Amino acid sequence: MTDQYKIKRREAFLKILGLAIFTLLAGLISLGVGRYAVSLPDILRTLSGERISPEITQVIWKIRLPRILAGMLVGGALALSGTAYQGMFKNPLVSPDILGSSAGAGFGAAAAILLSMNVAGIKLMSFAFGMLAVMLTWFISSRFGRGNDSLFLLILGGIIISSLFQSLISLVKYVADPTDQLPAITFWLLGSLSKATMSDVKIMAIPFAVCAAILILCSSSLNILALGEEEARTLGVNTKVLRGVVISMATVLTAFAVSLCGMIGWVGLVIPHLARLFVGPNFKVLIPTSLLLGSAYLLIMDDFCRSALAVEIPLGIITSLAGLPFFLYLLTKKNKGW
Amino acid sequence: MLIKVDGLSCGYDKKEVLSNLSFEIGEGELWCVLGSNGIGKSTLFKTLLGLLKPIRGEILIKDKPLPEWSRKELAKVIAYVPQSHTPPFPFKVREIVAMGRHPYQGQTGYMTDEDISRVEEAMEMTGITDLAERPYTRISGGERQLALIARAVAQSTDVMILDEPVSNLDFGNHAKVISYIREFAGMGKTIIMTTHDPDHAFIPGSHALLLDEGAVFASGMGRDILTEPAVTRMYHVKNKIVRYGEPEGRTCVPLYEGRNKSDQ
Repeated sequence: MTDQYKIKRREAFLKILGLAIFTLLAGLISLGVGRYAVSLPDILRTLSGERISPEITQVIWKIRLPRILAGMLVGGALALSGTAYQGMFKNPLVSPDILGSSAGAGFGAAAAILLSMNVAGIKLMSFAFGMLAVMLTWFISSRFGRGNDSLFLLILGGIIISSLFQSLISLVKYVADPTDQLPAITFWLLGSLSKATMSDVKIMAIPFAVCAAILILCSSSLNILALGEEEARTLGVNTKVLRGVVISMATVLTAFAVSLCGMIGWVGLVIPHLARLFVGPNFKVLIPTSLLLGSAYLLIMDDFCRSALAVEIPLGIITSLAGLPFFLYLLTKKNKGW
Repeated sequence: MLIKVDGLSCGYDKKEVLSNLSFEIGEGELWCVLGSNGIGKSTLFKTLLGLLKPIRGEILIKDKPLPEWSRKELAKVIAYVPQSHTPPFPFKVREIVAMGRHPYQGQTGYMTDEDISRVEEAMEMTGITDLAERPYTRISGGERQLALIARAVAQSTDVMILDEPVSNLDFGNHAKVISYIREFAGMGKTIIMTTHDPDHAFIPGSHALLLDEGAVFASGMGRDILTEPAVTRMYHVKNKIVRYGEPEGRTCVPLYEGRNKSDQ
């Protein structure tokens, strides 16, 4: 019997390892993708510190590497928080912006652009308002909800706060200067990795690693929480603490992601499903799988954005366009269960 | 005493559903909680499980007040078997049963050899080993109920609380589940279950707690207290308690009123 468990464990480990290697390879190859193509050997030589030509060094180190790392972090963060929320809300149709963090972050950025802040200011405002929006949602649910209604009120609060910030975004757009501010806001809201810098990556990497590690440690409790609040408590899960931890981690991840590259839809919804098809619903395996799949997915989508047309296509448009048919395809596979 | 309830009133917010309950439950005892729909059986269970704060009174588990128990420690003493449900994700039956080991595991949820053997034992005991790799969402209601019972067995507790464990089961599965429950009681587990079938109070050695109008009106050995008037009081239906077999079994039969056409 024990052997069977060992085989299962190894199988899951190998799947995650394989995916990790795939993601890393995708990252490496992506360094060569773009209008200035670089071959794989040249990429490896440049990464090991060799200077083949100033252009290659410039393209790899200064332009593509930060963008690719940012894409991996953002994709992983969105997929991770989507997966955790789907478990927490016992609903496979939930995405990371359910509690209003995306709308809040979007408003923060739009307001910062209206106030003519610099890029760092825009990112900071976006992050702050993303966090603020979720805190407001949390406040609504704890102020008006009690006992079993709290999950429902959390979703309701999220809808209220999202629509509040959506309206505020419209208001900002309405008063913004139509020659330069309005296009900047619109472009920012479409989502793009083009403005990501190495310092963004450095700022995000540590919180990302901490949040991911904490969510991985929550995974066996999340399995149980997916069966329902009361049942989870009778199995020894402190649901209040767990919920607080999951919401804070997912909010930090989402707010970071949105502040870094604007609103990128569908990743947090589609990737958890794809990951479940691949490894099943057990969160112990699902969470690391989602993280890696999200990273690889966003990376590949961004490659497409950079290289498909002569001008860059905003990433948010591509993830939505690709996400919809992809999601429909997954729904046809629903007979396997979510 | 394993469970001691003293002057307990329970309900939601200020609305009292059950008042002034006092009873004691000892090791290895089998208790059936009977009462009409909506009388407060589930409310009582939620309060016993610490999911609902009592309005008044006290519950002692192993002589320690319930609020002093941490969730994890309590989960090592009391297991709860809810009515079978369908979760949103297709966990395998084995994964569902393994969740019963959560109170014994650290944050990583690593399954030790002991955890594994408890899970396999529990599935064997309830006859669902063959279902281990099937998705829990795609087995029958009776099988799901058995999986939840297996999870409670894997939880290795002193007490098992079951919420209408046979309410959705066919005749065969009903008998199977009741046999398992008797077996667990025989192994020294304390069983408390709600039920809509008065006959469960006639299971040899079974105690009963009879609820009506927000209070316990009788508690004791099922065969002593579950009489025809008691059944009428709870369910407002004419009935007859029939004795049969050797050793004597009892069953409660409702006497239907009204006539159907072919009977006229």
